[in-house]
Amino acid sequence: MMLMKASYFIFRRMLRDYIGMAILLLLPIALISVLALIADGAVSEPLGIPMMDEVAVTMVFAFIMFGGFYTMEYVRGDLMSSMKWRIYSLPYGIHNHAYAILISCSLFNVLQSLLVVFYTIFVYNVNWGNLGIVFFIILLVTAVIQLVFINFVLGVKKYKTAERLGTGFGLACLMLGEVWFPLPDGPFFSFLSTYSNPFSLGQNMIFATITGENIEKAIISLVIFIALALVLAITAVYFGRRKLI
Amino acid sequence: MTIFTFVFKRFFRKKSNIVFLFVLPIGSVFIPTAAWPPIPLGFHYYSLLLLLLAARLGGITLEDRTNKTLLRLSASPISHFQYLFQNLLAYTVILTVVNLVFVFLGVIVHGENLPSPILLFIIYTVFSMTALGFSLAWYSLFRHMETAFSILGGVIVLMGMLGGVMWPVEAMPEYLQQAVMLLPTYWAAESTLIVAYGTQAKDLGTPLVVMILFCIAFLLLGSRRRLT
Repeated sequence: MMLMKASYFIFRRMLRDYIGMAILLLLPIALISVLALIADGAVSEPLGIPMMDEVAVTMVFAFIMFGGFYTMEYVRGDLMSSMKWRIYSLPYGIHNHAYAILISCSLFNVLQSLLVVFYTIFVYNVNWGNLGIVFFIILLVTAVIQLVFINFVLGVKKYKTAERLGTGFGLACLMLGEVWFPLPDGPFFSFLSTYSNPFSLGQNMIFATITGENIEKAIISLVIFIALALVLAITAVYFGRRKLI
Repeated sequence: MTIFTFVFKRFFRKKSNIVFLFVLPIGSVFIPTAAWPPIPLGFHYYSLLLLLLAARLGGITLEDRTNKTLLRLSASPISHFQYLFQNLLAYTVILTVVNLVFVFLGVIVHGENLPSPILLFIIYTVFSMTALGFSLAWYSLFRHMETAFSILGGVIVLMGMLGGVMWPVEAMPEYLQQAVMLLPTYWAAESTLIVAYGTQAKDLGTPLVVMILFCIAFLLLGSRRRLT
């Protein structure tokens, strides 16, 4: 019960964080609008879907990769600054608060991503396939990303290092996902660009929902995701017990 | 020139700054040539990197403002002009060294494939000044370093896309092709393209002059003394 209440209040706090909104909601919309200018009508080669659809999927997932900064900020603000003594003095377990942060940040991120998804549907008529499955995939990816970031912030001594790790992680995911430039050919690199990072894994699943092809790729991705989530949850608990005494 | 030397001390005291300054340029030297433009891709994208590096350097001025160093400086016998001039000069020197290393490495890695490294170096140096002016103007709008820097990341990418760094400007609708000339990145991309296609060096005049004009405009916007 307390967990629900805490999540609700963190959620309300997040609604007032205009900078976060500007970066994670307005920026993707702006980028999609700019990319739409040049994408009109073209068809993306290997997948056979309109370029615009590919752009929309890429943008939504690219920004999910950075959504974990919410978790990071709130963990630092509530559990690692002077605020923590106030939270400690409450009749309420500190781990509950960490869970609450995790839950509300994930939900908030999912909400933001869905807003971008709806924007692309209504304005650019992007075909996302079954929206229920899209929601499920976004939820899964977001949860994993939040877990990754909470691991960073709890596992590293200095907050600044954790922040840099987060940025590096996001950029590395995009790089391995071949967003900026194609990786060299060869089986090793093609494996890297398909399964090595949450960005590509999420993309695999979404593209499978849109086209109905490469289902086995999507299922492998799903299994990797669930395994990843479990491992990350366990390490997060371990780091949390060490850091948040 | 105490402020000038102090900028170096202050900036290089943090080891992470050195890494930040060199890791991205050195990494982008190795990006191979793509279908467009006919120049190693890293050399075309470099203007965006310069904007990012300049933003990191220019952050010092905002830091001075937020922790009230500027207020104390105004009580000292140093004019605001001296303060700004020496700071900007130091940043320009740092960025020029980075440009030099970048172009030099480019010559080693790409050899003949890199058309006229000297012209590229001139373009980058002029654009570094524009980028510094831009970061100064940008930071004059904000009060918090974190906010300014994180929003700037998005703005730089947007400017790169619209300005023809990521793809040719001709791919965009007619009305936008004219409008994006108001972005400094357009002129940086334009000038690297002129070098890439091997047209005459005198065509470079217009982009370079426009970049300098942009620099002056940004400096005028950003050099207003704000104490809070």
